[in-house]
Amino acid sequence: MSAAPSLRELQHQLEGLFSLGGAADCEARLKDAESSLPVGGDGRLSPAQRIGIYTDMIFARIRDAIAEDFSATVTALGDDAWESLIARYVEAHPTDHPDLRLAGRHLPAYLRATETPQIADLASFEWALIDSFTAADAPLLSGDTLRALAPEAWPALELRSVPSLRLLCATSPIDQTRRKLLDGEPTDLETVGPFTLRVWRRELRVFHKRVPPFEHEALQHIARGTTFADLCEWIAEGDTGEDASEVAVRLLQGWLADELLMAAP
Amino acid sequence: MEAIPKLGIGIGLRTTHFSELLERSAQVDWFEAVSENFMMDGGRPLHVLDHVRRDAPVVLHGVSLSIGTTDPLDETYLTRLATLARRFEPEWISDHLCWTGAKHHNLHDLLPLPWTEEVLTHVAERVARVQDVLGRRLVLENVSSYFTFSHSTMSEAEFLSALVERADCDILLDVNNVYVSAFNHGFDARAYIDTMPRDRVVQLHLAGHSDMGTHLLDTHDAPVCPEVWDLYRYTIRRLGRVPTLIEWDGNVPPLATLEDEVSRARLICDEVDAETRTKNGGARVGRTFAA
Ligand SMILES: [Fe+2]
Repeated sequence: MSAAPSLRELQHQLEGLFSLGGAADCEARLKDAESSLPVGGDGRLSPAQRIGIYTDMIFARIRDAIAEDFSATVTALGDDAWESLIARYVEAHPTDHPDLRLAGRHLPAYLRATETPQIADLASFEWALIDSFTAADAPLLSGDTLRALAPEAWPALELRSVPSLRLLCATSPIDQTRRKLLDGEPTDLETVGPFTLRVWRRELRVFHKRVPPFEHEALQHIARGTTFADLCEWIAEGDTGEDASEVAVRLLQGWLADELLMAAP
Repeated sequence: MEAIPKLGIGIGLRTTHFSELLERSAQVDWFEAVSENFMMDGGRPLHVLDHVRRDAPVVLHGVSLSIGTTDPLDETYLTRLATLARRFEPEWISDHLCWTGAKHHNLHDLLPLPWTEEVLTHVAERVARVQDVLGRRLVLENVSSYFTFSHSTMSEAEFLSALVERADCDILLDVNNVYVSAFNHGFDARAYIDTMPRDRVVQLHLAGHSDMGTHLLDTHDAPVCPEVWDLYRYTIRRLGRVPTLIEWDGNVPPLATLEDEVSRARLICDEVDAETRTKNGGARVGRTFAA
């Protein structure tokens, strides 16, 4: 028998075999490789079958972990389409993060390139819910802080959204669609958009709400970090016919109530 | 070495039980939290861990350290683990004697290693680095495996015993994994337990597995089976009342079912204690007569 491979060679070869879970020719490729590996078999199971136990488990574990985060997307696609899609996805994006929870983080972008916009939007929405759930906690900007603010301090007031805020723009009513899919009701993923939404967390619970495109855009400014003066300037550019600072204060009141704004550092 | 904290019998902290744990305290002695499930920036999981930590000891149990891979150690991961440990002050930090990927891919499975001198040196060096970063001993667990390498020069139990001496780390002995691997590879589970260095085993795991006919699969989705309870009793007789944790990850049942498993483990520990007292008492009586 030839000299045993180094640990590195062995792991590189096995890594390739363990990653074959979604491949149609998986069994044949394991069979081809078994004689070149120092893996023991017996009357119960051949070396290829033993390696295959891992290959199958690895694929199933990753597939199921992702499916858990994208339940509505899976339902919309159907089990068979999901199975083949996830095999292609895992091949394009091999899991590279220590946290299995993040295995699906590239899926919305992947679907954007490979599926209909409606499916990609739905997946983006589901990922936003997951992502928001574990975003950093942050101290909130309080109404008291604002009330105590001297008039001359308002223009420089820094406005930043909480880390859990996610903003989405979809071509279909993804919030309704998701609800119906999860409740087992019939849906048609028609394009009637655009729909703008925000997803965010209050304490431990994640919420989502449709917002008008104007507020959606204002929130994009806040998410990047802005000042009250700059927000007012942006509103004034939009020529709403109202006093820009009044519009800004009205927006702020809504965001404060929903706990969307973070305290200044 | 410092004495092992007498933690008693605990359970894994699982999402399914979060709501219930916020409402009532479980009839368990301690919790084991899967490190990666709490490596996030904020939100509910960390809140729950904070909550249970107030009343009960916690241990961090990782699945992605990949101590046996030939890829470089993931320093970002180690830093996150160290941060988590500073926040939650676990009794100890454990992971598995395995590799979980190569070529910078993480396969999210606990993969078997060949038991050779080359691997022993490699793993011992990496354990030393991890222990430097964490500032404490690492605890390594034996995994269930489905194949072995024909070029291994020692048994798994011999490798583990040699490793803990060379790297000065500790052992989390998974009794179910010993049982599963013993069936899959045809070795004697009790002989494996006998090989374990008594002063290095700081924790035990118990879990359920699935019988696939040709092999046993470590599924953590069922009650501990009678044979594993027997092996547990044997282990407690050999190693003493080691802190024990019930693992349940698939089809997770209500908290009450896990509390029943905990009671059962406690009962076995109590019975073994009683046996030992009787034996020691008997011996003392014997000596008195002889004297
Ligand atoms: Fe275990």
